[in-house]
Amino acid sequence: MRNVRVRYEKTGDARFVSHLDLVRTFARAVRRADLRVYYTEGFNPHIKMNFLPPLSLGYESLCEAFDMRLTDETPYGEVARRLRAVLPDLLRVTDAYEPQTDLSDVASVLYSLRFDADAGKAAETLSRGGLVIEKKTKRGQITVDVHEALISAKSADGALDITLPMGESCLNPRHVVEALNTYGGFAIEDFRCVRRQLFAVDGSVFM
Amino acid sequence: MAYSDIEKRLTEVKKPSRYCGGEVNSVIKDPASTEVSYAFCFPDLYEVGMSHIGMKILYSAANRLDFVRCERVFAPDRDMIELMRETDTALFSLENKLPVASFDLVGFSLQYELSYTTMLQMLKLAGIPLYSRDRGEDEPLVIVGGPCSYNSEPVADFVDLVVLGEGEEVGDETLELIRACKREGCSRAETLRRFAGLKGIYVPSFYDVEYDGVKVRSITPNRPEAPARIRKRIIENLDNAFYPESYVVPYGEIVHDRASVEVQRGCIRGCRFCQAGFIYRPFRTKSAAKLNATAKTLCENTGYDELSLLSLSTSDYPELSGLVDGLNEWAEPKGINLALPSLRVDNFSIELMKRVQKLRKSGLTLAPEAGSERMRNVINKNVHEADIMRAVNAAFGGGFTSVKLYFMLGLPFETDKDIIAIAETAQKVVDAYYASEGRQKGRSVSVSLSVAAFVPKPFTPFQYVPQDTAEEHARKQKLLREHVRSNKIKLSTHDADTSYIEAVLARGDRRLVPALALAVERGAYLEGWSENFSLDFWKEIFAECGINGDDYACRERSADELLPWSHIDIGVTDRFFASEYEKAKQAAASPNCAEKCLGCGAAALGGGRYCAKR
Repeated sequence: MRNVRVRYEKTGDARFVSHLDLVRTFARAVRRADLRVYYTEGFNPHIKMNFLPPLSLGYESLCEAFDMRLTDETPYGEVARRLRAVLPDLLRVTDAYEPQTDLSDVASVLYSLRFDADAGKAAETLSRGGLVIEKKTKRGQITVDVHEALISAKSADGALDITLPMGESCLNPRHVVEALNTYGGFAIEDFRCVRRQLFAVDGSVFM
Repeated sequence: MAYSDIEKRLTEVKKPSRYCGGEVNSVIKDPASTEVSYAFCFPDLYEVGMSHIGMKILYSAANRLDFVRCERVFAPDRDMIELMRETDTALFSLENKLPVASFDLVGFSLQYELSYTTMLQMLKLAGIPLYSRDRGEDEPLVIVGGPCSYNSEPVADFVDLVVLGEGEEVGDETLELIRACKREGCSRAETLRRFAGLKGIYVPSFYDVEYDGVKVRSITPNRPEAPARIRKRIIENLDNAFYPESYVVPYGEIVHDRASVEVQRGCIRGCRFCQAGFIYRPFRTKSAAKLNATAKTLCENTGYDELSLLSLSTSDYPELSGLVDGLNEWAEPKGINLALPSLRVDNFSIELMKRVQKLRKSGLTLAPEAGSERMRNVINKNVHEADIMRAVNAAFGGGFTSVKLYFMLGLPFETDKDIIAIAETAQKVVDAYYASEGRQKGRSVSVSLSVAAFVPKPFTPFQYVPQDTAEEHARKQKLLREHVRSNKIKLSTHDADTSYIEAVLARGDRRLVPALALAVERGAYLEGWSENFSLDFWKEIFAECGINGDDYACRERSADELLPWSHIDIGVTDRFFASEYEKAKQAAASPNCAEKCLGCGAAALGGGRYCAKR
């Protein structure tokens, strides 16, 4: 058995597909593509798949991935080709390869935010401290300084590029927008958000 | 406003993927290069509508025509309606996100009476005038089909066209006629006149109905083009009928989330309460070879890991055993489960169940419908207690620990003894478990007893009978409850309130039109969901419209009364219904179609497997 990492993009209206629905959608795609993959044993066998931490509903991404196991010798390139053929363009498989890392090793994420306001001024606002907002967690409300939690924020091509830590302490881009509205005099109602790049603990590009 | 405006805020609603389309196998055509546009609407939520096999068939059938662009529309949930109001967005289609009012043809599938108000609410959300007479030259034609269309009189003034019967062929002809009318620049009136000449199409506005007290006095065509009686259309040879090789696979979970093939149409049984058993006559089957091939392609194209065989009574499929073996040959290695709903208890085979459902030992579901042998003869449900006990004994021996039993309360000629027999039957099932040798030791049995209120339907031998009044139904429920004594039996009684409104609408006439319009004005919507239904609401509506619901639900009709649907011809004759009703009075069962042809009239439609030549 070989591990395979399937990298894909989730764009356009696919941003309204929840993580759980996405898992089901890919399982069906694997069946349509007639790939030989490993199923869990037991009364209700299902394809063994591991996904990156869920993307919030409403966000797009250029760097999503899941891992599964191939039980035959199908070349990686063909896996990608066959999956691409059975999925809509909004869920485009870009690549399939042998993973060298663990999907849980992702430490931080770069998001691009687009909204009807000056991205440069937004980056400037975020460079100042004291951007305290309230955030709901499983253990109740906590307060976070968005400036402290952010790894970086800059404007590029009219968008606001922010890098946020992934994992337990993670902030959602909407918390950043909330900080802009509360402290920067912004009135952003809706924004488009794209996950652009993932980084490992040492800061190297994960994907 | 358009979809692009609402899209920004779509994450504010529950399950937004229901409104954005783009699913695998959805068909997105270019509006500029298709001559006829058809908005196919289902008057219920996405997850219900997407589960409906008829919609899957007709969506694919329409889109296989190059000149047609068929797009889907479902009833938006209440939060989405709120968002549509805030953003001033009219009801739009899933494929190209176009306003429903911009389509040439707007079709609704009417599966149950309580969806009428949802259909009308959807017309309002689309900005299409509710009454057909108010629609202008540039507005869509509204067409309905499905089982409720056989008596569409309560919605007669809202719809332009009604399809009677199976849509595969008449659907093509409808779309072709629309193309022809568009090319020739026909007026709306001229288009309707041409439709009146199409077999299987009913144009309600071409008929005048006169009343005599609570009864109908006459139904008269008011145009030369309109036939006195409209006969339903059927497909004689199902193997030649269009069946999709792939269908839309939703992102989110829907009610029936699996691949399914229709093995046959119609039913040989003739249960006297069952409308489906008569309106889909004559009984026709598909060949096992064809089904096997279709099922395999369907699974390959959808990626589903469950395959269901659909029909009204799958046990009556003559080649069932061979079909199941053939399916399992390729399905099993692929990990695809077979589901066989609608198996009968009389020829129930635990071996068959074991063969197809070895992985899931969930439970056994049986529908004896009535508790006593006498009552089962009245309704012509030819199931005997011995059959039921054989089935449950086999199931318990095979390790099952739960049984679901379905019954009806309020059937014609029912006595208290028959009601108590329901509780007794359930008790016998409990006792059988504890007497069973093969049962799982140390585990308790669970019998869920589900009891619905009987709704008399048109086009059945019970179309003449009164429904129980609310008081009588409550008394019967109480009686039944008193006789359920084991805590292993879980009795659930269905809401009699909805059954009452169903009974009014099912046998209704055009005098209910204003009541439906008022109910819609007052916000009636998605009433099939119990949280949205209120009997008091309807009582107020009826009172304001001067309607006595009991005249429709609880009135006995004589066999010679002109019924509101008398101008609709489903093949099966009123003479046959009346004779079956007489037999019901005597508690006499009838043979099924495979045993003996009773000459119900459906033979005239052609294609029936067991119809005798006369």
